[in-house]
Order: sequence, then C-alpha cells, then structure tokens
Amino acid sequence: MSLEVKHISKKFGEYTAVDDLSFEIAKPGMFALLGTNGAGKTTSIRMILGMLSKDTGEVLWNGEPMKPAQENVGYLAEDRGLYPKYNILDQMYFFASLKGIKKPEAKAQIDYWFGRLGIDEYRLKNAEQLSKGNQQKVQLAAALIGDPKLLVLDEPLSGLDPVNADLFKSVIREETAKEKFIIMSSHQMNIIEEFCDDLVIMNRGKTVLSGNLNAIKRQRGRENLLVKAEADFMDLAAECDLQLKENTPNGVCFHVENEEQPKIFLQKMLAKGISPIKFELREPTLNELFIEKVGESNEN
Amino acid sequence: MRIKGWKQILSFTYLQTLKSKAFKTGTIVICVLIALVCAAINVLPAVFSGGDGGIFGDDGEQTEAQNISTLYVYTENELDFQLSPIKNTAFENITKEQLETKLNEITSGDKAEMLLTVTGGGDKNYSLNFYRPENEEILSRYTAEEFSYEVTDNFTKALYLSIGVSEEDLPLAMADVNSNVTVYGGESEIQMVVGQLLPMVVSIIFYMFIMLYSQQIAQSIATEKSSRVIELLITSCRPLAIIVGKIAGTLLVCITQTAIFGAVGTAAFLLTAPFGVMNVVNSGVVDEITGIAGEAAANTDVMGEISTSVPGLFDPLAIFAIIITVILGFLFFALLAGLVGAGVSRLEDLASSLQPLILLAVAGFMLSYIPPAVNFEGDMDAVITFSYFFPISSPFALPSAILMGKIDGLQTLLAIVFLAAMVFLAALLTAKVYEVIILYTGKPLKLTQMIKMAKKSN
Repeated sequence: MSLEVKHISKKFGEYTAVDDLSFEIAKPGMFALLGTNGAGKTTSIRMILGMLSKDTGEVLWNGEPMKPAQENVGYLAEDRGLYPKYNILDQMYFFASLKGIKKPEAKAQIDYWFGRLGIDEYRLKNAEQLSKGNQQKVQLAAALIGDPKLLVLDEPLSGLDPVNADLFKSVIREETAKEKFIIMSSHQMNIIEEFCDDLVIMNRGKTVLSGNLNAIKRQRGRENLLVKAEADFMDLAAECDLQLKENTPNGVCFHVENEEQPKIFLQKMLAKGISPIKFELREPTLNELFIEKVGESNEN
Repeated sequence: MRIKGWKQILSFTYLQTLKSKAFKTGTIVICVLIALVCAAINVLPAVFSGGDGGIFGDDGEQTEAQNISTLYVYTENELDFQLSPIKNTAFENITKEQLETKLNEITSGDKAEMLLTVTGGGDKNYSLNFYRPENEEILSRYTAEEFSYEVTDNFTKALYLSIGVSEEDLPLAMADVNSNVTVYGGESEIQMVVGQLLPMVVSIIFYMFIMLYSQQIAQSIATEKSSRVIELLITSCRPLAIIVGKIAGTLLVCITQTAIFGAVGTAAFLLTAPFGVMNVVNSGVVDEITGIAGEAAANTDVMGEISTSVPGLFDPLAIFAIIITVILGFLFFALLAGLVGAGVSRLEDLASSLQPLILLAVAGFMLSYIPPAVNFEGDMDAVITFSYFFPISSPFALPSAILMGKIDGLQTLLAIVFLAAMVFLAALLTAKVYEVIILYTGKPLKLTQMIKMAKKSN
C-alpha cells in the first residue's frame, strides 16, 4: 500500500492555495503536513480526499487514482462538524452506514470507541449538548469507525485540555501501531516531532521542506549550541564567531558553523574559569527548521 | 457510482425529520386542525339545522315552535279551507277591526303569541305575513320563523286538498321544482363555483407543500455546510448522492405527512358522519333546510354535479398524472433550493438567498391562482392555458386542470414533458454546480457565480 501525491495544485481565482505539492507515503506510519495559517494544508487534504477538484496533478492510492468515497478513509476535519440537533448515537450509525458498515458491527465499534474515549454517557444526547472537547471525541470516533486504512487528522489536538490531548495521543499511537497510513496536520511542532517520520512544510501554498524528519536533522548536523553559565560568556562567544540565535532563561543558543567552533569556545570558557551549567550541542528542532524555512520562503 | 450512499442519506433524512420536535409538533397541530375542520363539515350544518331530523321531528311534530301559545289569524278573504291545527298552539281568528289592536299587543306584549295575515286568494297569489313580539326574549326570531315555515306548509297542504288534490298525490304536488338557466354544454352554477374555487385551493395547497419542503432542503444543506458535517459526509459519498438522498428523503417525509393528514381527515369525517350532515342527508332534511332558506337546490344532484365538475377525481390515470406533476414540481423547486442551500456558508444568509427562489415560486403560484379566479368572461383562458405549460406555474396549475378535465390527455402529457425537461435541466445544473460549491465558504453565491465556478472546474 502507498499514497502518492503528485504535483497537485489549486487556485481560487488569482490566489494560489496549493502550488505543485508532491510527496509519497510508501509505508504505514505517520506523515505530517505542516504550515502556517493559510499555507494550504486543509486545501491539500481536501484535494487528497477528493472533496476539492485539483487544477493539476493526481493522487494515487495503491497506484490507482484515489476515490475516497469508495475507499475506507477516516477523516477528522479541522472544523469539527456534527448535526447539532440530532442524537449522537443516530449520527454515529449514519456515518457507519455511509462507510458500508452493518448495524451490528457498527454497534460493536461504537461501543468500543465510546468506551475508549470516555463518551459513553453522551451517546443519547444531542451534539449541541456536548462540550467542544466531547464533540471532538465523537468526531474522532466517527473517523475511526470502520477501521480505515488511511486516516487524515486535521489539527486533531487543537482545543483539547492536557488530559484529553494525552488520550488522543495514545489513540493515535495505537492506530499507528496498526500499520495504518496517517496524515496529520498540526501547528504543534512537539506533537509532530513526537509522532511523525516524514513531513512536508508548506508556506503560502508552496513546499518549503519535505522528507524524513530524522534525515533532515542529520543532514543539518548538530548546529545548535545551548550554553548556560553563571558568569558572562558573551564576549568569548563573539571571539569564537558564534552567531547568537536566542537568549532565554534556559540558556543562550548559538548557531555553529563547524565542529571546531564549540570545542574552541569550551576551551576558552574553561581557561577563563567559567564552568558551564549547560553545554549542549544539538540538531535543530522542528520548530527551528519550520521558522527558518518559512522565514526564507517569505523573504523570497 | 456518483450517487452511492444516497439511500443512507434518504433514510437518515427521513427518520431524523420524523423524530424532530418541529415535525411532531407541526404534524400534531395540523392534524388537530384537520380533524376539527372535517368534523365541523359534518357536525355544524346538523347542529345549525336542529340536530337529528332537522328542525322538525321525523314525525312532523312541532319542536322548536312549541312555546307559541296562540296564533291570531286574519284573512282578507274568506278561505275555502281550514288551517290544520298545530300542537300546543291555539288558532284564533280575528276581524279587521281587531287587527291593529292585536298587532300592537303582540308587538309590545309579553306573551309568546303571533299574528298571521292572509291576503290574496281567488285569482291572486296568497301572501302570508307573520308578526312576532319585538322582545326576542319572549319569542326569538328563529323560533318565530320556524313556526311560520310550518304554518305555511300546512297552509299549502290545505290549499291543495281544497282544490281536489288527494292525500296520496300531496307529496308530489308539494315537491319543489328547481330551475336553472344554462348554455348547453356550458357550466352549471356548481360547476362554475367549483371551477373557480378548486384551482385556488389546489394551487394554495401545492404551493405550501412545495415551498415548505423545498425550504427545508435548503435549510438542511445550509446547516450541514455551516456545521461542517458536509466535510465528513463527502469522504464517504459524493455530493450528488447527498442532495439526491436529501431530496428523496424530504419527498418521503412530505408523502408521509400528507398521508397522515389524509388519514386523520378521513377518520374524523367518517367518525362524525353519524352525527352530521350525512345523517341529515339520509333523513331528507336537507330538503327542508334548503326549502326554508328559500334556495332551490334541494333536489339538485350535488355529487353528480361535483363528479361532472371534477372528472379527474374518479379517473386513476388523471390521479397518476397529478401525482407525477406534483412530484416533478417538488423536484424542480427542491433542486433549486438545494443549490441555494449549497451557495451559502452561514444560516443567517439563507433567508435572503432564498428570496429569488421564493419570488419565482410566488410568480408561478400567482399565475396559477389569479387567472382562474377572475376569469368570469373567459378572457383569461389564454393565460390559464399558458400556466399549464409554463414549468414555473405548471406544478400549481396543472393538478386542478387535470382534476377538472380542463386539459386533455395529450396536453397533459405535453405539460408534464415540459416540466420533466425543466427538472432534468435543474438536475444537470445541480449535478455540475453542487459538487463545486458545496465546500465554498464566503459571501452567498449568485446563480451566475455558481455556473461560472462549475464551468471553471471543468
């Protein structure tokens, strides 16, 4: 199984929402779609799921053009949607029936997911009577019903309290372990770093970075130096040509050009009798990569 | 298949609408109204006519007029016959000299007495004038009139007997003879009334149903858009399946509700029939009522007239054509309403976006409603005929025309074909546009913008 997105584009009038987006998910796992607000993530997801027509390009599922209405696809939309006036259980049966699931099987799955997500007591209530978080849980259950092979989660954790965010994370981990293809869009970089192997970063419809996250990080090398000490070391850092990235209570972060720079800097600190509390050479975080790439893209 | 999943949408739409409070409340309220109206059709005429047997008992005994103690009778010329007495009422002849005094006494008196003057006779017509007390608390106008009818009846019987009519021939001699001036092949009065009322009633009913349910579809689609449920739905089925299922589901709701109304109406009518007008008809009292009212319709074959006026009512093919017309009309407006619903992103915009569609429907409705109502001289015939074939008005105009046999089979077929063609075009437009605009968010779209977007997407 594989999902291939090949050169898809979408324009709304003169505005290019998505410009030549391509990526491939060749094996089960979590794939991240990152981007600023209005970067084109949701439009891309809608094109992948066939909700929106593509101006160019194609989406292939197992080598065939993707037909979401005929495939077993689970989708958790960014703008959560349930019928406000209808009973939750009726809605779940309806969503299950649209996926071709018979009522007894649907009942078993609803029972499981409602129990797993802790929303069993709300099954006979109308959607409008539920809190946003609980509506989000119902939506996740609706996306997961039918055990879809392809799961698309658009900002799944936004608006959740830490306890429920943790619950969602554990469910997502379980689904990942079931060898599913999962596309997740999020603004929360720590979540993406925690879950995703491969990613695409979009800005203003364009792809600014794509590939395997670990490979990208390795390629960039350990270019960040985080230093914390009681004495002032900024003059020494300047002598060593270290570029200041940010100064936080947690320490000062420098950009290093090569592996020699931190060594020389450490020697000079020790020679001056400055003992570092923290001296950490590390790869760039996803957040740093994101800000850097989006910043570069905006400058262009 | 582009409409895979439509059955699930239909089933969900149907069941959820039936479960909704709005449907339950609306249906119950309308059912109660229908039951009351149908019962009233039976009961009210019977109540106003005095219950079982009408104003007179079956044995011909005076009922309402029992409290009139004396009837003073003044005759201008001597009668060749005797008025037969009426139970509990004494008849007392008075002279010309006593007349004025008695009139004054009765008018301002405090007794339930009446005075009768009989003028004419010989080669002149008889004229019977009854006088009653001014104070209605002593003797009501209604009771006085009831009494006068019976005395008049007795007077006529006595007159016929005096000129040699036998007791056996008396009913025949006293039978009402009705006359009606008409043009051969033209319409009778009942036909004319039915001809003017039926199109109005039928067009109002169909207009209300079609618009009510079309707006329901628009609202349902707009709700799905504004609540974002649509995004979840279209991962499992195509947008076209959603609108097809929704329209079919709503049509089924419409049929169900109509069936409920029909059943309740029929049940109320049948249950109240033994107490109502049907019983009165059987007892022959309608003759009396109509006679009392001075109308000459007692022997008129009303049902016969109605069946002549509304031949389609008893023709299965005509009923079938009406059902097809109504369904097509519903589909036409429902498809357009679906597009309107898809073109708005917020429920607040729906009412203003629906206005052009409502105006279109109102125009069609007016075209079917007004011309038949003002067509006294036949000068609106061309407009009426046009309304049968114009797809905007034909859903409202055609059913009554078919019912009344005002349109022949070929014309009916042609009108249905026109309407079906419009439904087909609306369906094509919907199929092209709906999938493109269903995820659109922003200002409400005009039809031209929708078409432009659909063209561009192709």
